[in-house]
Amino acid sequence: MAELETGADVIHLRRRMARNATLKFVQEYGIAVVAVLAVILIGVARENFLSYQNISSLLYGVSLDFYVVVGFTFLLIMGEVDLSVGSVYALSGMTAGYLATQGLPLWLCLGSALAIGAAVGAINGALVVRLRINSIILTIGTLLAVRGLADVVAAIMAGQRYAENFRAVPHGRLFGISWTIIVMFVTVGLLEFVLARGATVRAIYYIGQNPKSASIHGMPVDRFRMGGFVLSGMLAAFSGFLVAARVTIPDVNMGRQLEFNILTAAVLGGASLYGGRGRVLNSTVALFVLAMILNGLIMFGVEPALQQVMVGAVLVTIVVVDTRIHRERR
Amino acid sequence: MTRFFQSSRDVSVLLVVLLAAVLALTSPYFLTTGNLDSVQTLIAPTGIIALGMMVLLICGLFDLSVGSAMGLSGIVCAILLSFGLPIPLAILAALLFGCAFGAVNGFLVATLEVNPLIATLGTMFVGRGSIETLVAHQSLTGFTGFPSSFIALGSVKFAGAYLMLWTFIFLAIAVHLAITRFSWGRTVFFFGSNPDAARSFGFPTKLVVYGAYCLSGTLAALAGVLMTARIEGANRYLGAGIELEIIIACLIGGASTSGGRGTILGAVVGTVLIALTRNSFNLFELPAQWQRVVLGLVLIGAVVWDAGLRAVKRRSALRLEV
Repeated sequence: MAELETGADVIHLRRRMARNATLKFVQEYGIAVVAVLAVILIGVARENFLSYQNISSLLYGVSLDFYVVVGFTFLLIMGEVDLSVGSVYALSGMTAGYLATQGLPLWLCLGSALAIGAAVGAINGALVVRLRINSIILTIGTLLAVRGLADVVAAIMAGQRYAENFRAVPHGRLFGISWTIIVMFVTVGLLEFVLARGATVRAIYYIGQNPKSASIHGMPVDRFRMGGFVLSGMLAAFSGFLVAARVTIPDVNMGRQLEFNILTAAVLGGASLYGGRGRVLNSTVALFVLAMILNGLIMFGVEPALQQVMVGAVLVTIVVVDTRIHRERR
Repeated sequence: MTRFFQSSRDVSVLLVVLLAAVLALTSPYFLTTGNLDSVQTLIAPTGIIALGMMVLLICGLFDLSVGSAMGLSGIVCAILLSFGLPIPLAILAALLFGCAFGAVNGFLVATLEVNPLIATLGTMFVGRGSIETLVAHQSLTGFTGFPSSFIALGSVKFAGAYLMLWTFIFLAIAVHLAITRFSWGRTVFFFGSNPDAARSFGFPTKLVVYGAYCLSGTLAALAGVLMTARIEGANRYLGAGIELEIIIACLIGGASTSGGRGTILGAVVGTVLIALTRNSFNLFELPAQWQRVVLGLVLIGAVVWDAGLRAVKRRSALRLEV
């Protein structure tokens, strides 16, 4: 390595290391800084924003949807994308609501919702893993088919309300706040501080960073990918279960374009489309930031239709950044 | 015979003939003028955009934003017409707008090197949102009340076929000749099968990507304008979800998601097959939600078929090496 010792190279190397350190900082804490800034900026401009009511309703919304972003992040870390989550969310939620309205006990409704999620996830996973299909294009197909089935359920319900006991599920309270918010904090905390050091999660990162080396070292890469898709389906189903109960009637727009918001949140939180990077905590914070920005836009009286433009613009920008970072690393 | 079925395009030709025969025999309405008109309206806009999508797929690229480009261009044309701009100018502006929309995709994919699926997913989202914003204060029918000579563009017929169908046929022949008979056109195949080799050989690869996306955007705009003239209005549903139908049409017409493969004839056959399928939904009054289920399953089937073919090829290539 004698060639490396020249002055120019050392300077180059130092610069690169400094840049990598900055990048690492941005990836780890960037979204937290953005979150704090957004709270302060919107809070100063609109006093209603920081009211207990508004913040807790924002948190409540995120606590119902965040399961989707958890599954999505794990898949992204392994370099896969599941765009069918929005449809799975709608189909499982509506089916659970339908069954509850038919008089089935709640645990059975939840079970069938999770089973639907697991089934769609297993189909996605099997096709992607076995046939090496691009997961984006495949899950667009399942998005379409499952959305159709969700609309079938909505048509069967024909505007009826879900059963009373089903609708009560997300409204339970613990220590004066919604139980879903507490569960969110506990889950993210567990994932971040306990499981993140465990072998399973570390294997997921390893597979994402270098699938070839992982499989040479005897890791069941395909089984992990498959498991990722099943988990993503089941978590989407669980979120769908809670949200269906919250919206009280079968809504054909439920979960439409959820996949875009979730994808945007995950990448905004530092997960990479090229795999190997991402954190559940950051993705969840990013989901909260996204909800906050959209909420802020409404408070500033921006046309609601523009929200979609905003999310799209954020997605494109953040993906451009992600691509730059990826190229820098190579 | 086994060779025949290796190309999904040939299977699609067979299916088109079969489906048309079945429809003609089982439905008394299939061969009526009214139904054939509606089949044309299903084929032409989808087909025009499919030509651009096929070129992109041959290059190994995707464009999920064509539906948004189509809708947005139709609305741009409608707004300009309502300002009293002369018809040719309004159409030209809409086409230029579509081209610019494509150029943005090209910029994201060629210059910023973003994954084409994600990049066009983003622009699709931005486009749809812009449409919603533009029609936010309109009634559900959107922009209507065009000059009669503009509406004539959508309803005038030559030899039993609408102007838009003739446009589609003419463009299909033109694009086919361009990518098979000219060396600059054949670049797309070279680029699609091996982008790195194309770059090392000094091909202007970025130009190819820009060109393909601009073509796709312009064709989407043309489809949007023709459709606006045909339905005499531009609303929020213009072009919604059409991108998936088009990708399905191209895949069952013999394109591959990994690039380098595909023919314009395949795009045409695929489009006709999708149009006939949609038409049979309508003839047999299948509810809209089941239509979506079927289309999704067809897309999954096409992708699985494509992957299966590639797996077979990989295996036979391995055998040769041994």
